[in-house]
Amino acid sequence: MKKRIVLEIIAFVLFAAILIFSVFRLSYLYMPERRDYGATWNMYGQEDKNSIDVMFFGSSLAFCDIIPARIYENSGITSYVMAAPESTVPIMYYYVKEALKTQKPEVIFAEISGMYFDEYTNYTDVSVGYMPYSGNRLAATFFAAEPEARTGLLFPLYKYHNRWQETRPSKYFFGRDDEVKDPWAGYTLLATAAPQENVQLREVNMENVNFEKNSEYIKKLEELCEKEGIKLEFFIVPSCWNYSDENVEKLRGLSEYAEFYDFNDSFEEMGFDLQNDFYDLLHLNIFGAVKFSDYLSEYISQKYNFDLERVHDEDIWNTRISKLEEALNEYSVKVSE
Amino acid sequence: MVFPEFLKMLTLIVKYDIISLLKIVYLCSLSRLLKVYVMNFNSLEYIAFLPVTVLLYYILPRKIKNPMLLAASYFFYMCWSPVYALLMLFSTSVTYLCGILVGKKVLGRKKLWLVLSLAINLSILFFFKYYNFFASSISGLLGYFGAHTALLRLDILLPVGISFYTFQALGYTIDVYRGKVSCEKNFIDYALFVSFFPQLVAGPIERTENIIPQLKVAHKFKFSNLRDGTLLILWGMMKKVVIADNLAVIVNNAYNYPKGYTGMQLAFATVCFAFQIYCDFSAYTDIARGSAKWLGICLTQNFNCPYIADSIKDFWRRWHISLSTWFKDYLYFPLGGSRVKKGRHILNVLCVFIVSGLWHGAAFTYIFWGLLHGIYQAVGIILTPIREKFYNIVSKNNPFIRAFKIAGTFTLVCFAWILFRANSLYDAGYIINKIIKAPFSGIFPLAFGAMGLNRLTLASTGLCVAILIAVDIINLKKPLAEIIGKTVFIKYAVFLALLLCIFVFGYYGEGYDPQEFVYFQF
Repeated sequence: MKKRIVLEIIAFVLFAAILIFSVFRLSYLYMPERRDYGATWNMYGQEDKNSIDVMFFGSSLAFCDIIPARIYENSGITSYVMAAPESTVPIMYYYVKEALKTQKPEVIFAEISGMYFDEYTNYTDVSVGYMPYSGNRLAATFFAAEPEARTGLLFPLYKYHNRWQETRPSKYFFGRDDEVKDPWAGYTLLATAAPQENVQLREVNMENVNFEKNSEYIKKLEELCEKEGIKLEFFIVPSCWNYSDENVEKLRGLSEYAEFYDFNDSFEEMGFDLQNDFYDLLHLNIFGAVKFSDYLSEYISQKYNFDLERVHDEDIWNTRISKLEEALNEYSVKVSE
Repeated sequence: MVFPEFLKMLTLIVKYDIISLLKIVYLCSLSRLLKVYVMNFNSLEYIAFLPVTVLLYYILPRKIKNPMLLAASYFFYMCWSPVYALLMLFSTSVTYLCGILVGKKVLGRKKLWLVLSLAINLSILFFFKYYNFFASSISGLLGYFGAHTALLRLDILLPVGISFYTFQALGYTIDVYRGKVSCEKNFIDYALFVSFFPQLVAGPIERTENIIPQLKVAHKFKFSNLRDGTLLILWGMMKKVVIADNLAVIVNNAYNYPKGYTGMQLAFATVCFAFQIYCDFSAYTDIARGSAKWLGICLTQNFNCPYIADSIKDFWRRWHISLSTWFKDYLYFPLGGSRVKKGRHILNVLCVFIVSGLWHGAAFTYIFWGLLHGIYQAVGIILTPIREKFYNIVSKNNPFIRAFKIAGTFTLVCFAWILFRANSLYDAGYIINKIIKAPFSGIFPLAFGAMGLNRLTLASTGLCVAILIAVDIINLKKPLAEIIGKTVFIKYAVFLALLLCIFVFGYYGEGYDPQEFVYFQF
């Protein structure tokens, strides 16, 4: 009888363990590959530990506008964009917390246009759903995701189980194809150009914005960076759709610990070509991003001191530089067309 | 994660659950009286409801166990319709009182109280389930003869499970009348017998002698009950979510737009429906039996591998057993059964099957479905002498003969399912015509993939159907649960396989429309 009970307990524990492992593993395998447009956590996980000097967080405004390869080429500073599509401030906070598990950058740049985003945006399932299973993911699920998305975030098979049909058998043995170092270090290439006529004012509907909650998370972010001894700088990327001076001032006054810079103040200096450098009103295309990254690398290297001897994988960085060059050659025709 | 944050998160989780709970309560509240909220066996609500109820049952003192189960059963029912719970309570009270009056022979008239109970309950059933059908049928008939009179149609909702609990309650009154069981004096126990949540909505239609004695016992927690119940629940879930709901896509597409499909596709959809309805209904029974098993209560087995039946008579011994035996005991035998002249015997059979068809739904399709099964049986009775002669020449147990009989029975059953599933008699006629006239049209290419399911889903569902048939066949010799239960590791391996099968191949999640159990409408 005793033996039977012991066997039953062992079998149950084994069953529970295999079940939990299988559910998590299958969820992971069935999720579509993610190589660009933010939330590229699998590729981020492949980056050598503590090899990044500067990290950028935020929304598509970060991952479409900043090219770490260009910054490295210009200054030797290693950087990475770990942003999420339409990332809200709470999501950004959990991203920073999660990212710091494997990297300890000197400076964190947080794009805070998200302060004026709606409380819940369209891509929570992606932003939170691609985070590694951790306390941060769980916290993001309950504090940053809309209640309706929680079932799918807590149990991703709910959303992705039908993708077993598209999953090659080899994946069950060798894992996902996006478990490689990101050749763009978090950047997403936008190749086409949408000519802009002038810079426009971006209205904010404060009814949908939870400014108080966002401010609370900004404070948490400061505390986290302060605790980790990481410099923090809030910024706004250059675009043709800008918040009013009043709204920008509100952002400027958010923090005492972090610096703030609105790169729209240097718009002219960066020498943007309104005909060729913008993908749309908000986002830069590859040529605009190169101009912004050039300016950014100078800004960073002048403002902060880095130990450029930090151990990093030079091969991957050289690959990233060549990939950028190839892209610039390839797309120059497309943009001019 | 820092501790206060963790605490805050826990609070949020609790708050989130409370909100879900409040949502259910709200949906059941008076302001939403006429709205319907479904606590399906395959819903998250039920997954939360069942363990809580079972836990309460085992931890509460003996005296409170049954009242708690009764409250849980009414809560379960009220999730569908709070108002109709009153109807069930009324029906329960009437049969309870009549049971006592019959049992005690009050005024010396047992029959009076029996008739009163039958009249009240059948009137309620008629009013809610059949009034509109008869009103429109009579109007149509009158119109045919030139008298255009539109009888009043009522805008009423069919109370979920009314056919099941009414038959169960009537069975009790008749049994008391016959002296087969004594009347139940404890109202709580009786009300629980009528409304016991696992079998309340879609059966099995239980007998007094099976359930009430079990309700009188305070069951102690047994691990074996939990294990066996879980196996039944998971097996039922697999049949429902993986097989029935996936096949429903093909069936619904074909039967809702029959003109868009070839004869071969419609025949294929009909076979799919045969398995859909079997898996759907038997899944409900399995989950019901599994849920009851958690509480230590054994419910009647409702299916016994119906598609390996070798005659229609055999099919009805294996399909919806609780209903078949109900009709046999309370209608067929009182009519005289088979111990009468052949003509009367056939009439009795036809009568029982027409009533059975009508029990399933207030529509001509169901009546003709019942009638067709009656005709099958009648032909079987007429051909008995010829069959017997044939079996004198060829052995009954010849495997080829048996295989032929099984295939023939399955074909006849599928043919009848067309009437059962079709949206109207016209549609049924159209589908039958298309299948008969051009059975092989559209076979090249085998365009089953164009019926709503892609080939891989179709293949995985087909594989599950094959496993189902294999399990059914094994079950015939020895219950698979017994075989599995013997070895601890095999048992958990089966649990694991079933759960993963449900999680991966199941029809659920975002972009899916959860299917209700087919028999809920009856």
